[in-house]
Amino acid sequence: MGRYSVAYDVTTLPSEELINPVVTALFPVMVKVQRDPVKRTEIYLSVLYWSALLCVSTSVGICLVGDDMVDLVLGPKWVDVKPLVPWLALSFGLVAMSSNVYAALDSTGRASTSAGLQWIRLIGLAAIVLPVAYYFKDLEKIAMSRFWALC
Amino acid sequence: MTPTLFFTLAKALEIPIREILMTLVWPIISGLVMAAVVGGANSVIPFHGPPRLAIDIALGGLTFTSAMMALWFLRGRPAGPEAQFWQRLPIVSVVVDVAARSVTQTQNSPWPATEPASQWLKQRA
Repeated sequence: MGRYSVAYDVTTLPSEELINPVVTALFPVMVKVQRDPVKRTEIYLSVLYWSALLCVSTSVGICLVGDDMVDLVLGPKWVDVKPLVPWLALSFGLVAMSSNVYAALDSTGRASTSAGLQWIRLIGLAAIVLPVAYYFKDLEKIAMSRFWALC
Repeated sequence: MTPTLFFTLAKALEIPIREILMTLVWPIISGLVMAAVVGGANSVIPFHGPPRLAIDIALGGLTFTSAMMALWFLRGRPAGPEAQFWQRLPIVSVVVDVAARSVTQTQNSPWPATEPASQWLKQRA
């Protein structure tokens, strides 16, 4: 669990730091234009484009340089986490890119839809990841299943 | 499960799903280009460690940005982050000026040799 947790922290930090301010800013802006469908669509698509730019570049980037990054950031004692890095980076890229969906739904008074989607995501992840974890007991396969569950 | 989120949002906020897909496709293409270039470079770089990491980061950043800008030009330069990047990076305009000038001067282009390429492009847009 320690290796998975450290790998998750290292791979998600850049994307998280970049995307959180974007999603945080989306909520009040969407509230302001919630009665104007044209403006609302325009703003949402603009934020989605920024999110996609940031998430794709950081998650694919970390996926590509994962080996060297682990050596540099964590040192030689953590070589075991290297196989996890690409899967966790891509998984978080997907999560971060779609995180604005919840903010958009919440800000337009659709909190129950937003909550429903979060429950569906949680149940879907559990349904795929838990059997893989139980059967294989392998961190890389768990990280892979997490990515495929999010796709 | 991620597509489910976007489909639900599109339905709830009446955003055409095609608009959402077309918004996501350009960064994804640029990401694939970056993956191909950096992956290819890694397969021929014989060393590991911080030097390769530095090369990969520089190459990846350059490739992703170049791919985004190239796609932006192909799409007819719509408003967005690329337009802001283009306006705030004079050096890019200078490089394009020099490159475009060297090409068009050999092809008898209608673009006047005394006019900066960025200005000419703006007028044409």
